[in-house]
Amino acid sequence: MTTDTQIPVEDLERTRTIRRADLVVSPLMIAGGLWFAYDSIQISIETISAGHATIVTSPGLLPLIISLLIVVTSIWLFINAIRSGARPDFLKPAVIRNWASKRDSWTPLIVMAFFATYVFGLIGRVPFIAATLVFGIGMMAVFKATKWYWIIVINVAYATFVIYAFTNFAYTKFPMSVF
Amino acid sequence: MSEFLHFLSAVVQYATPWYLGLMAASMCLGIIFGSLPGLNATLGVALLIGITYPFGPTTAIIMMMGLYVGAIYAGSLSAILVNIPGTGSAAATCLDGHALARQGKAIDAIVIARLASFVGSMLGVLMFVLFAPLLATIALQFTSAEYFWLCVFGIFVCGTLAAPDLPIKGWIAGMIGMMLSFIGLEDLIAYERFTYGNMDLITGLPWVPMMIGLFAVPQVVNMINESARLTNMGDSKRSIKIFQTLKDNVVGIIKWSVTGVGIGALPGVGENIAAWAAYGMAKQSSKHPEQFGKGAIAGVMAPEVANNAAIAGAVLVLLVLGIPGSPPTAVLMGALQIHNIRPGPMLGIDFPNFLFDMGAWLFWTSIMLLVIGILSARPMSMILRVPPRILAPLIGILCICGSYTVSNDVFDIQVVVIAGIVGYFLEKIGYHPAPLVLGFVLGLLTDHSFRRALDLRDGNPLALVDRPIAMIFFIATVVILIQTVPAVRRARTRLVARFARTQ
Repeated sequence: MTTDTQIPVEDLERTRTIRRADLVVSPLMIAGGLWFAYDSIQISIETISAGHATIVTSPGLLPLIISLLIVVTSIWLFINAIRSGARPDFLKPAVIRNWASKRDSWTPLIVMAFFATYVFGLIGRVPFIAATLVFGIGMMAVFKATKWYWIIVINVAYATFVIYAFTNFAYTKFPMSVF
Repeated sequence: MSEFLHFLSAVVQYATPWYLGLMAASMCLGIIFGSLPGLNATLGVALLIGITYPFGPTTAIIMMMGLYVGAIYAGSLSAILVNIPGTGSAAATCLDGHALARQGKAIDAIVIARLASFVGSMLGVLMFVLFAPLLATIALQFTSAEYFWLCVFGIFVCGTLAAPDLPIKGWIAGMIGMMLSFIGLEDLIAYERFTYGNMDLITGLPWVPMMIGLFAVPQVVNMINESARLTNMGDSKRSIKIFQTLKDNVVGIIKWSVTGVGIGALPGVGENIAAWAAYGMAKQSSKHPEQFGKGAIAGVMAPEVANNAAIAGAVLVLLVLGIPGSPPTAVLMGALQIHNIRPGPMLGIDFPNFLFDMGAWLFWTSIMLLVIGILSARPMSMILRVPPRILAPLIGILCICGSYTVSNDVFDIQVVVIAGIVGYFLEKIGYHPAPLVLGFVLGLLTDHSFRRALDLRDGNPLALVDRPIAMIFFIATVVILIQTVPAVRRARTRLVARFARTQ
């Protein structure tokens, strides 16, 4: 489907979504840039007053310039988003309900939850191969990759092979490894 | 001419089944290292040092060169097939290589990448043999100011080219990458920056896990989300006409390989910037720049020609000046020293034929790579036949294991996950991970070069622009920035249209 100007509707909708996101993200970047600019000034003051550096050799100089550039470009991005007609209408309950009703909206959150559980929750607490199996089998099962017995066979074979190969050929010592 | 004859005699000397077999074996190992996220050419060459120690220097170095060239090529394989660059230099190949794979042209993309790598390597070898002293002299002219502008140029070119939405977002991504690289102990006055008391951050954020996280985690999500659309990616047949493609791009190939050797010869910068600079040149000189990022053949060829030609440049400065041009050559330098070969200005006196031997080894590895690369295109593309919902978790596991391998530290894999989550959301709102990674890799070099250049001239800001090469990079950067201003782009379009009408 295309509009009169031959720009696909999907692209227009994506651009609108991105502009709305710019409206939220650019203030965060401005805040982050100001935070790092402040820290960079502190670094410069500290190193110069201690006699460890001059203003040009101060480790805070380039970070200060870069963080100020981030602030300026983010302000431009914010203004551009407003000029493009972006409004924070994604905060309306109807829009949130519509977003939550789509399966695709949840996929990134589920995948990231799996990664976070694997790395922050399991590795170091259970044997590495067990953590890997929970991650692989769990993710394939949740997303219905194939039949359950194939999921188990694939993951057991793959995890064993990968961990064995890394341990023996790349001299990796995985936490709580059984190899 | 005598250099060329020496080179030819070395080529004939090493055309024995033993040496060619060694090259093929080490190249296959390099392809495995380059295509697996986390493993890379540097690690591969380092691991080979121990294995090849009992052999003589010739055998050892041939194997290391085979692995190095194979790994750099294989970085493009995972970039094309699963949109995860196996090496930093293959990030530019992701843009059009993976776009081709999504169109069911994975084999075309692999064959083109292979061919481009071969041509790039060959032209690199030729320049290596013919212009070694000249290139070394030019590389010596690079001082801190030149490095500073080259890094800034690379980051902004990459930002402009890789930003799918607005160029300014590419620049912001590059600058965020630079800020992240500043975390940790800087080595001019050993000051701890932005660590906020976290001991893990003192040595800085690890760059391999950062790269894997930024590219791999979003790709795992995308593969699951778009599994229906990606299912037929593996049903690919070769449709590209190799000689016609070469003929169409002959001028470009020469330009990209010169760029590759030139930038590869600059210590510390290497293949990463070479690939992006060539990609930018290809897009600028193309009649259809709008096709870049959507599966343009030149978009695959340019970075592959340049990053393979850069190998010759990197090896050249290592041998002639004793300065490694890229991380793998830094390891190679150690390997050479173990075998009592001391790279540097005295190499030509101690080992008069070594440069030509190295040229011959690079020549044969390039030939091997062409054969192995084209033969392996179809089997490699079979990976795309695995359903994405099975492949995605397996890639996730590989990324975690690969990242952990770098320094056997759980902090590294935590970085993968955090970088992956941040990278996914940034990508969704129009920030490509490539400029962020490049900014991160070059950030510290930019900082040191900037401060050193100013310090040497008592803080005079003119120190950054009053040398010819620095001035060229400064002007090139400004031109790139100005070109992206909407008013300038409109004026340029009007001028081109007016010129076309008068024709």
